[in-house]
Amino acid sequence: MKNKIRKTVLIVMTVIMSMILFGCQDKGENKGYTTIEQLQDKRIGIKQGTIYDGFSKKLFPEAQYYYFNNNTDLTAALKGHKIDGFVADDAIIDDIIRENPEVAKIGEHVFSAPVGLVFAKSEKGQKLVEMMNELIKELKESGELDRLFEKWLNYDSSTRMFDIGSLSGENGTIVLATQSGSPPFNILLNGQIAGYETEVVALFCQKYGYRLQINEMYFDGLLGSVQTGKADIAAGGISETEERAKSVNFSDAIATNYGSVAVLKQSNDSIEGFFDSLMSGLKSTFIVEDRWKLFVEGILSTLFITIASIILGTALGFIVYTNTRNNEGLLLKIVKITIWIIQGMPMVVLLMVLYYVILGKVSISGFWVSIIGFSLTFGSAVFNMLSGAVKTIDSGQRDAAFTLGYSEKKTFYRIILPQAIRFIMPSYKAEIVSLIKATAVVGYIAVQDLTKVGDQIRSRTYEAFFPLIVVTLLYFALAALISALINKIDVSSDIRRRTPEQILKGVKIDD
Amino acid sequence: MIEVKNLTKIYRVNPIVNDLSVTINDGEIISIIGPSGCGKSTFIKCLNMLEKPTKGQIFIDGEEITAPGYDLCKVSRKVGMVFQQFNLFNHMTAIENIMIPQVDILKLSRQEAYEKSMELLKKVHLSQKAFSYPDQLSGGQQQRIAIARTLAMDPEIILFDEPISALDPTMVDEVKAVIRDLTHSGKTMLIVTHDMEFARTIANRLFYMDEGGIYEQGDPEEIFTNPQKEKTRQFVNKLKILQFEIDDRNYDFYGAYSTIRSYCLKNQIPFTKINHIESIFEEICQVILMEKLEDYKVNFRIIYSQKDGNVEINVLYGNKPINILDDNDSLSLKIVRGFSSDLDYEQLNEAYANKLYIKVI
Repeated sequence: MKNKIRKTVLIVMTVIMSMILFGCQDKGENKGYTTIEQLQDKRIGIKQGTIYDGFSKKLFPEAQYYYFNNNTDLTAALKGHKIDGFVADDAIIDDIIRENPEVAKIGEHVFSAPVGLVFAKSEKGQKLVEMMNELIKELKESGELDRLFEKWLNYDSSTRMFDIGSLSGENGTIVLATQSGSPPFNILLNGQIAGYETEVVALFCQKYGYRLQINEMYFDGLLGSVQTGKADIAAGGISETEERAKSVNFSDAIATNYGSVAVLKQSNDSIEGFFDSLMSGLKSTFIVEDRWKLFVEGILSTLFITIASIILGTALGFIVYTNTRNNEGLLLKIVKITIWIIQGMPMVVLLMVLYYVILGKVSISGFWVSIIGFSLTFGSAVFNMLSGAVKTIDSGQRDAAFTLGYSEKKTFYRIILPQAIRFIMPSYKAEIVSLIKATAVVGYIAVQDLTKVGDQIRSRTYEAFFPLIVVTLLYFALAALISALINKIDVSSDIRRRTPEQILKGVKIDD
Repeated sequence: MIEVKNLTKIYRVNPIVNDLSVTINDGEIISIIGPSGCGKSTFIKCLNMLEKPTKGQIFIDGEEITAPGYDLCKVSRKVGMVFQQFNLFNHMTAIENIMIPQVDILKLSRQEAYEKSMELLKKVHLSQKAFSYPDQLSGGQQQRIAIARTLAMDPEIILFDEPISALDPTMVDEVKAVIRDLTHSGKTMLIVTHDMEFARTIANRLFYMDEGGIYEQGDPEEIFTNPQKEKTRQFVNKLKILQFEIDDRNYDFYGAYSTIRSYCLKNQIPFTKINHIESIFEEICQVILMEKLEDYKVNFRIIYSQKDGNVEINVLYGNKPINILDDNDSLSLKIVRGFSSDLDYEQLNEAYANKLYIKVI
């Protein structure tokens, strides 16, 4: 009961805090930069892993640089006055301005570079790139390519793409790695990945008889995914540079990236009322294009990864512990070193190493890799909890069991373990709650979890606040749900709460 | 029957039990006493292989349990043990502590196990506490349940490892009574204890352990009233000994006084006695022997019996026979006589040629 009240208070406080923050948005002072020169010594945002990194440093050698993962975060940082400007594709800035009237574009076409689709530098990649170039040539000659580009430049929620469900796939599957927040190349439309490049790849699959599987990931993982063979094609409005061409194959250019600089306009007073902005935020986060379905998808995948990792991790930790508990030698050392490595690595790094290096050549989705990764981490924690708890059990318990005739194995399962489990339960529960939170990084290996879904929706609305708050609240709810579940198991398995009838199950009492 | 042959147990490099051999007959009640660290607990723990002997053999009913590969579960079936710290299973209620091992090990049905357990609980007068967990019970109650648990397994031999040492004085009697009852059951029992009265009255044979072995054994009454060997005598009379080796006339006598005083205070010797001890020490060592001995060499020993409160002083001196009691004019000797109830001289043929016995009043 007390717990429930506390939880409610916490949630209410979170909501109130968010309201305040929401209301405080757009309260900064706008300088209204109009030329590149004005930005020389200011704060410049850079999207990680893009060519704008090097370019921004050339354009603004005096500036301070801040790195972000995607255009949404850049926009949010700009609107929140964390940065004064950032360089991005022309088309992207136009898209941002469509949703955020307070953003302006300056220095039109300060940069240009050809955009191509990316393939691996392997035999297969070479073959695919030649096939792709043939298609591009055909599309260019027929004028279809320009028409496609035009279509996606002016897309709205009624725009339709070639239906990838109709692909016959007699020659296998093509895996496309992409980042959705980069219009017109790849965008999230009506809950699915679409866009100019996506459609070109779909046409490619149609022409050559492939099925298409699309993996969404962060921009800086795109090139890596084709290099390691996790994907056949990478697309993300990727500009061809000399440096990149050394490690991957680019197709012929299918578009040109023009870069401009995004800044804030002179402050205008057209701030909507609190209620209106709340409603429009709600609408664009949930209702438009049925985005709530994405949240459901994200919740399910976070929930599944968490629960599967709890079950598999517990089993793993338990099995490894019980098989090494009497081992003093090499095996135990190997286990201990493995655990040390697993626990010493940041979760993101562990997942990426599993995905790109250890299982790099294995055809396995990021979803299962994350279950493996979290099972390993959780299993390590379970192993450590078990060995710690068993050590705290008084050696007298073992002596007594021995003198009563218990074998070593029976002593462990009947006497030591039941006592150790009581001891472990609190830290086990804490470990589960931190596991739910830790799963938020699976987006790095192309898994659509709750955090990633929030990112995707933000990439469409260019609004940081609403999706983030929703994601926060959903994580709270998930944590509450799972701990309630575990508590229930804990209580019903608590030996101390047994009644005399339960203790004497199967015994008839005469008196 | 238990036969122990040349049992040796070494911890790191220290032999705790050294070359111990003994035979224990069925139905014997044996109490084991001895100073702390003499190896008595280690000895009985070897009897059920809870401690693995370093060397030697143990036979129970003719079977060598120390033989490599011997099924130790068979030992546990014959030999039960009661521990100083009770070691009840903390996650089980009292009734389960007694019941579950019968189900797990003796393969009894839950019904049979329950009935036997209830019977045993009644026997130790704790049937009311059947559903209590160990941490809800007093030490005495826990130990009685631990005894019931051991009995439930029907052992032929029961080892008690200081069964009352960890108990509050108020609970000692209830546990002693339960153990006393058991002596009529015909089971072989070995009881390690620090309680002299208990050791003396419960057993029909007593081991005094010291120097890594059974130093002296026999009828308990006999050993307590008339111990044959020196260390046994010291132990059963609870003798506390302070000893000085003085071989220099310029010895630090002030230091010696302060040592005597702190020894006496530690053993709660009355103040009048302390003064008498100090006076005797002064008169003999600093006056009489200084004068009489050519080659000054003295061993001065104070022996205090905690049991009856008597203080005895032994003085060994000189390498030539010389009886200082002969000098009737000596004032110092008169003082010594005044502070003692008994004073004797003996001539020795050892490093020291003379010995004085002084009983201090």
